[in-house]
Amino acid sequence: MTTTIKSPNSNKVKKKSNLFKKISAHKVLYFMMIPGILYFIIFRYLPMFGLVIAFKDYNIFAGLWDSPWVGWQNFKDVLSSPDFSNVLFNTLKISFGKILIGFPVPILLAILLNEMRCVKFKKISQTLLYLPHFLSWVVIGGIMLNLLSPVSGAISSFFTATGIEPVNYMAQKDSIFWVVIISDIWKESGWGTIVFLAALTQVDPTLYEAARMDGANKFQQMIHVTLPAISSIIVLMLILKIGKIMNAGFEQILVLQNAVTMETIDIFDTFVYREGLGRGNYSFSSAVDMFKSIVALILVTSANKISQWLGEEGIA
Amino acid sequence: MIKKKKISILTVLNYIFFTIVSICMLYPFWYVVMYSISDPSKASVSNLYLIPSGFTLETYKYALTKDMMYTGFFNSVFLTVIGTTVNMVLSILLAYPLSRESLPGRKFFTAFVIFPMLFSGGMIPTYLVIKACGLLDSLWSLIFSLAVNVYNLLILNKFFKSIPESLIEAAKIDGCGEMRILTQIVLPLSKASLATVALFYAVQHWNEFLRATIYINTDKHWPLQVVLRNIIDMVSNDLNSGSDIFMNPENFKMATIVITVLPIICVYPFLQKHFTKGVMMGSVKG
Repeated sequence: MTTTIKSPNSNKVKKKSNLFKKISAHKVLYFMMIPGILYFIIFRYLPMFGLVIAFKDYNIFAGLWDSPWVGWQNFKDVLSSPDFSNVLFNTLKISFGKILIGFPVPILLAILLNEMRCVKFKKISQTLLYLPHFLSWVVIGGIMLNLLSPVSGAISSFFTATGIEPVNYMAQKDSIFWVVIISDIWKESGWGTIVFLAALTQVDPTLYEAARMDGANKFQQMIHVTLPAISSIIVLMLILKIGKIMNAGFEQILVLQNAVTMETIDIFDTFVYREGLGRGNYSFSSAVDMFKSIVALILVTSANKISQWLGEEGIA
Repeated sequence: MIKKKKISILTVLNYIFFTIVSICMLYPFWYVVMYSISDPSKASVSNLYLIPSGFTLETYKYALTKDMMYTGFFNSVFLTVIGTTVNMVLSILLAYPLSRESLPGRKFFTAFVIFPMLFSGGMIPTYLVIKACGLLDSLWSLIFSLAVNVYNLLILNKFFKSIPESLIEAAKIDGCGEMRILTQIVLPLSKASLATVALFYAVQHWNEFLRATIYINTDKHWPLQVVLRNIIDMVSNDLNSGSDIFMNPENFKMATIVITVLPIICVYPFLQKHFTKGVMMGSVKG
């Protein structure tokens, strides 16, 4: 009897010492991880605890810990603020605009590039298509400001040639939305083709042969062979995009917005930047940011779950 | 014969389409370069700048007399070199242990580094942490606040995992320490992915703008992108104030853009090759 009681105990002790042995055998590896882990604790996890600022009335002189607690007051203020609904609306509008108009573009480009037989021509096209991805929005915004300037830019020749009244598309409430969407397509859709091109190389060439035997022309082959073959990666990319709709492109908007267009393209990040760091409303803007982060967290984790159901591995 | 002709029409259309697309991609850059070498006094409305109108390098000479171009350039070089070094050291030292199946607690640590990808404290709390660390208004704020990029870490981690465990075990039996295994076996085997990740980090630092505008207020610490942004926002009055010689601000802006982009264009062939590989490694998992 006593032995049967003792044996699991000694087993436990053995297991513990085993684990200890295992850990000490890897102690160099643990030491290696220290700088990286410290970085994550200080610059990634500490700010998460700093989110308590959203439940306080932050006062620079009192500091974070001595500022008074206000409970959910900041969130109540956020939800009743007209700025918040405007920012939420703009963020969703720009994100969905980018998805609806911008998402099919790299798929189409990839399919057409894949049809190309002249390797040299294909290489040159790809080189040019990928280039804008490597430049910052500051550079691209600077080029656009000049190019689209009705006074001195290239577009002014279009106005003089057609006789249309010169318009500054960068400084107009209704046109700036399209500038944001189209400039994003111009910058990123070439780069977006890479994933789809990779998927296209996996398509079984005998499928095309069979389709050709059945008398399918190029266009029919595209619809009935190519698209179904890459449909899973298309769905995956779409889900990942939808998971990120709370980020409508901070740097792009910050560079493209000006006093006139501020309101029409103001998104969460630019609002938090201006209201929080610009005007010093730390608590209020942190509450806005926290709302955004939590919705984003829910969206990204569900996107990941869905993509796992579909049999693809997500980001993690 | 007829069938062949049909296909060739579609093919021709395809080539024409991509010629147009390529021109759309190239034209803005062409325009900027032509604009920057044009003679400012000959600047005119409704010019497409397919060729420069007049030729002068005065604009570049003028840009190179500006102190802020130098400070910006050197700040960006410093940020890119030191920042990428810090990035690589920390990422390797974190990715390697996480790639070892036998490490107790590996799952926990992996979750620990992935979670910040899903949820972050946001702009204000991060700003307050940087402030509390005394890093505000220095380039170190940009280096430390993004010392490890989780996405890049995962790429490295994935590559290290593909190195057979038996190789590492064999080295261990031969009496190799972990540090030696890392520096003499693992790293030489992963040169290609190290180059990819280093380029990812370097381009990120060179294009650094957002965090620099948040954390850095003094103009002598600004990286090049912030300097460029301020030049673009200038109107001619700012530029020609005091005893400065006359210069058309638009030409000056275009020249600054060219100077900012030049280093990227110079390494572009490497970028394209390695980045494409990096995207594949990041997206096609398992």
